[in-house]
Amino acid sequence: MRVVAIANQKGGCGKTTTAVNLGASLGSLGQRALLVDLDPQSHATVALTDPRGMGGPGVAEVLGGKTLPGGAIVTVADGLDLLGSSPRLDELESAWSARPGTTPAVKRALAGVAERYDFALLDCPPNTGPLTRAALAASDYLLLPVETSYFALYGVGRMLRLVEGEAGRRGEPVPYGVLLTLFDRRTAHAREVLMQLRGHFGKNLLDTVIGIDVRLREAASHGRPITAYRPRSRGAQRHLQLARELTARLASKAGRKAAAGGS
Amino acid sequence: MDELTMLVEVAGGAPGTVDRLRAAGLRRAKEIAGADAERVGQQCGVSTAVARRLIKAAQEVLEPEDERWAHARRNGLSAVTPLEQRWRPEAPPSTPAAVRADSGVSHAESSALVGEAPRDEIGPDSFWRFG
Repeated sequence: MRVVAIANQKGGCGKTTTAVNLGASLGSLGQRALLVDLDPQSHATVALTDPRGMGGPGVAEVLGGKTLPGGAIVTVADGLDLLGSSPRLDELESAWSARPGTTPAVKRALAGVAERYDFALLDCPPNTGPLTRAALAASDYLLLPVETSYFALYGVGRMLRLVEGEAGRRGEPVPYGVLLTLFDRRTAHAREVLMQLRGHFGKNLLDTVIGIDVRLREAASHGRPITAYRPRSRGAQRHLQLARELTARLASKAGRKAAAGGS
Repeated sequence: MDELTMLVEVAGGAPGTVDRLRAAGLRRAKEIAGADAERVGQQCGVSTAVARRLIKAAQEVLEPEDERWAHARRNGLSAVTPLEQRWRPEAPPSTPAAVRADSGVSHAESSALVGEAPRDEIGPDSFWRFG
């Protein structure tokens, strides 16, 4: 199972939209994906389930050791399961802030379901707190959604300093990819941001760009991923492209690692 | 993301445009910036409007960087630019402090060597000054 953290401390940059629709796209390509909603705001959970049904065990109970992951996971689309969040996760995050040694908790929780999935996607909260750090420690890859704005250039820098800290802990760099989101080609500003990010990140900027598409917002309000709500929309096509690109990137990274280990 | 993919994204080209441009020998901004829109359109099977946007984007790439973006890049991202270099043993010192420790140059010189603004220019004040 490949674990991908979807994180950026800046809010409103498309983390949850990416997590939900990437998960569903992986599912529609025949992969088995688990989406873990690590954000106490529970937006990924709300985007995929009926909010009236929330209240059962979720990721807070799993990370708190009160239940096993299998008892809290629900199937939400073809090939996509969800380990949902709830406001109780807020209490857990506060408790973790004051307690050392919580960083490996997400990794430990996922170990029990690793055989069941090809991918685990961790939708992180918009901060660099203990949940994000625990997600990063469990991950093989960081996907960093960046909206096309001037402020985004500052937020990315801060996030990658956290990645650098994690790299120091592991003793090796953490692979990451920057995903441009909410891109509006019609504005000169968005074009400038794209050019700046490409100039800075080069191959770490993904080829896939997610443009603004109102269908993505509509899909969330209907409690469905874009692949089910409007499979032929531009947003759905772009998320499928993202799923293919991510799969290829992780496969080539794994190949290089295996080759290095074998030599 | 390579330069050609970026230009096609900016121009709003359809899937497959990147491959058609490559096949026509148009791979870099400098090759596209001086091209004729109608000819690019015919050669690569894109509309003249897309070809015009492609050429405009290529010309923008070749323009000198705006100070506003240069500042954002320095102060927002420069500290992480050498992220991968730092994990290569042969990488040169990549922070002003490391350069000063190695060579004994001044604070301003060490910042200039690694392409960062001096530390006293970084922070909320500088951000708002430019923002």
